[in-house]
Amino acid sequence: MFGLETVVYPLLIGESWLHDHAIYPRLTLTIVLFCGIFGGRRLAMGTGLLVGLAQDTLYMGHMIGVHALAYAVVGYGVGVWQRKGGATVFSATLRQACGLLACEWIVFACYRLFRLYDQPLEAVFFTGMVPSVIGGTLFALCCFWAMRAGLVGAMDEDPDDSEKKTPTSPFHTKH
Amino acid sequence: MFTFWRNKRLLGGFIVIIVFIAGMGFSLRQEGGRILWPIQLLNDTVAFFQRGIHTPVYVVKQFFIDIAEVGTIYEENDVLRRTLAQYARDTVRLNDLEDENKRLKEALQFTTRQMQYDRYTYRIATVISESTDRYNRVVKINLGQKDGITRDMAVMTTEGLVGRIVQVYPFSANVQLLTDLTAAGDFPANKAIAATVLGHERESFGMIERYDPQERTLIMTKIDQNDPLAVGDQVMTSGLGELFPRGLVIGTVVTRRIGDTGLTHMATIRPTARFQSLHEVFVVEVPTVE
Repeated sequence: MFGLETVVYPLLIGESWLHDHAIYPRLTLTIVLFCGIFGGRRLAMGTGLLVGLAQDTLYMGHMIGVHALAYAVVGYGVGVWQRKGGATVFSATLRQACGLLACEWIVFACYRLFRLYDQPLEAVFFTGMVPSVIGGTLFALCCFWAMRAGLVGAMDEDPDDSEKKTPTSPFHTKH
Repeated sequence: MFTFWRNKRLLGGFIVIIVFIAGMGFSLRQEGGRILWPIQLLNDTVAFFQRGIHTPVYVVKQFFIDIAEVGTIYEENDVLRRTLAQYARDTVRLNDLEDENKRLKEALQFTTRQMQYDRYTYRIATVISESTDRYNRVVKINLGQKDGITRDMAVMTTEGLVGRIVQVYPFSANVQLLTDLTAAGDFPANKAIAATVLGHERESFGMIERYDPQERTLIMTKIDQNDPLAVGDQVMTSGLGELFPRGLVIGTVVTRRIGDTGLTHMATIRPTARFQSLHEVFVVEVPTVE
């Protein structure tokens, strides 16, 4: 997935999409959010931390830890939100979208905090963040549908080890 | 408020976030420090696999591009033939000039260091992957420490300067693009580029301090009021800064106006190099003669 994100996408996606519109696919983040929805908050936080740290280490430019923090926090947050209920494809997609947007915000905030990026939020919100979130959400939706059979099975098990909760599969249907 | 302090989990999370942010700040200040071997190993291993993916995907992509552009091959061939003839003539002239230059330098008793000062070696590197972080535009190339690549070397394409080496691993290196240049902080990453104008190398000077992502231009500041820099001039590195060697093309002057302080002028520069779809780049190696 990381190879797809950093090698294949920059080659195949139209360069105007990537660079002119600043739409950057965050496929690894989508996976972290999947973990939050289907595997529980701890798994999502762990995965987010590892994947984010890999991203920071492999493309170390200014500083390390931005993506590790953002992915872990967002993964955990989505995992917690999933526990509170919601059993439709719509709610799972909404969680994905909110997670992607939250991650964009955290990364932006970190760069602004350390004054490594001096453009205002409005400059990147509509031109970069929103299109990236839409792209990521559509990708997640495709993944939902492609793997729905497996995901329903995964959701029938308790995602957060000992914690008791009712199954909340996004593909759960009422009979 | 009291509930917050009593909730150990929330408090722990809060502390972890603070530690993380402090760590980020620390890593920012440590830029250029020694890279630990696990990080080197991770980078080179991932780079190896990325190279494995990159080559076939690029070949397939190029195949379809070639098919799409088959109609323009005749025109392109014609242009190339004329360029080749021009190139042959220029090469002869260049050789004559180089011989003359060498003879004059020897007559003026230039030292070896002075004579080899601008004899750069261009090492061709392939871009194997790109960062997907819009605030940190870093690309990874397939040359590293073992190929003689060192930190802060300039990286360019046939069109002009694109960035500099920021991290070097044994078999790969990270290049930070010019689009990531920012004057917002005073960190080691933000190294301004000393620039001058082609044809007025001795009279013109300015510092390229940041990139404006909205206008897609570089901002050149600290230009003297009497500087001959004008709209349309070609800007290149002056070699006066500690970072980039002399004579690397950066871009073309788009506008010039009075700077924020009113004492100096500032100009916007349209970069000649394209930062999109980078495939082959040149790492500029400056000779180190004692």
